[in-house]
Amino acid sequence: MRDDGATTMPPRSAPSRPPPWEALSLVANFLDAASLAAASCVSTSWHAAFSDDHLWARLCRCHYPSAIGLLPLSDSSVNAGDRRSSPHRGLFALFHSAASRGRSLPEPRLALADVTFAVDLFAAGGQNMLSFAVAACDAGVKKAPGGVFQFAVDVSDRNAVAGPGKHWSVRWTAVRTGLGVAPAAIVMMDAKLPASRAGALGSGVRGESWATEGLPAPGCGGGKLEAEAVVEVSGEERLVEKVRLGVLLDCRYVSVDEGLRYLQHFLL
Amino acid sequence: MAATPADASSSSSEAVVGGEKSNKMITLISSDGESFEATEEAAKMSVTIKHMIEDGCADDGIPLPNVPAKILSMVIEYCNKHAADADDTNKHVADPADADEDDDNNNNNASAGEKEDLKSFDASLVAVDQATLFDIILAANFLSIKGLLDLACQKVADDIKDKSVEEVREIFKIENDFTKEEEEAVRKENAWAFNE
Repeated sequence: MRDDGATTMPPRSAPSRPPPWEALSLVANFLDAASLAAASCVSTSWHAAFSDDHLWARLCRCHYPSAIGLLPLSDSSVNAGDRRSSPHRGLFALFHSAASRGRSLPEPRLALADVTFAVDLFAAGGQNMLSFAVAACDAGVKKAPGGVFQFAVDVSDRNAVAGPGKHWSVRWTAVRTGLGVAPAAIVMMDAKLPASRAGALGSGVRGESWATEGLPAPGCGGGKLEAEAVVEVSGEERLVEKVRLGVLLDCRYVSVDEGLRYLQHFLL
Repeated sequence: MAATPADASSSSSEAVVGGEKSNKMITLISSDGESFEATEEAAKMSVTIKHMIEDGCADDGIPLPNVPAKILSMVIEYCNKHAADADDTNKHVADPADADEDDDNNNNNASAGEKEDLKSFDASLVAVDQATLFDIILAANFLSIKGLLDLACQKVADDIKDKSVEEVREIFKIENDFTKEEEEAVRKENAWAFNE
């Protein structure tokens, strides 16, 4: 800022009187939308000058003309009660954000607490080896921050033995539970686990067998997910120690949110 | 300045009817009572003043109660400079038949040089403190001098563009008078603009 030399006032760094409202209004016509929005955060008088709905109506007409017909949309927004809000600015912001490709998806509407996993394990001959139901939030495996959609249940206290058969069958059902909601369920997998995968087990030796199966397509083009079940056994009689469940995409466990968003399609 | 009102009005109507650029001087009076002289041509860069002249109200000087002396002198400076430029441009355009190639080049070079000169004049005119700049905006708006209004507004806009909220407060010496809740609400309302 250059002192023009002709002034009779000494230069000073104290705050000068605030810019007059009409001057700000005139300047507003020279600002792009982002600068206008930022400038309205400076002070109450700047906010008043730069929130004028006519300014934003002009910007909408210029950048998002198709949005004008949707004006009633922004009237019913959260800010309807705020006398400072500008409907056209809300509309502009909506369409501006719509173009943003980097934004995150909304939170899943299903929570782990709403989901129960019911698992039935059968021997080759059809006998029920082991069954249990567990709340998803109680069985999580806390590896990565935020967690992956993988669950483990310790069943060693059940003393269930897999026996000598060539394979075991596992059926994993996800059920939506919760007070006051109609239950819904989907079978995640119904598959055979080859016993041979666990290897020859001597006393105290542990092995595991597993199987994966494609999950039903959720109907929005994301149909590549797989369910995985792993059964850990030990000893000659193959005592079932642990059952692990997970959902995979291209051999990577999906995140908890991704898993919940998948289940949303079927359980909500 | 002993002309009678009758003489003054007839000479001004002659100037209008004849279409000549008269060298008649117009007196402009600032809000603090200072008198300034400007050619009619320069004064007419203000549409407001132009109408007053044509309505015959300009004979005893034009009082401008909204414009202080400091600002009025800058406005007149602008008008003098730009009225002269408009005149020169008209002169160049007026003689196309006489122009040969050399003249054309010379004319082009001359107007390019003049344009540069005008640009740097404009830039230095608005290189002032914010308070003065806003006063210029108000005066240019009141006087309807589009070129000056655009120039001053663009300068302020350039000082706001692409700056953070804190930087703008610093440059314009604005105090943040939001309450904590208000500021939060306002930031939220405009959050989309910050995530570029």
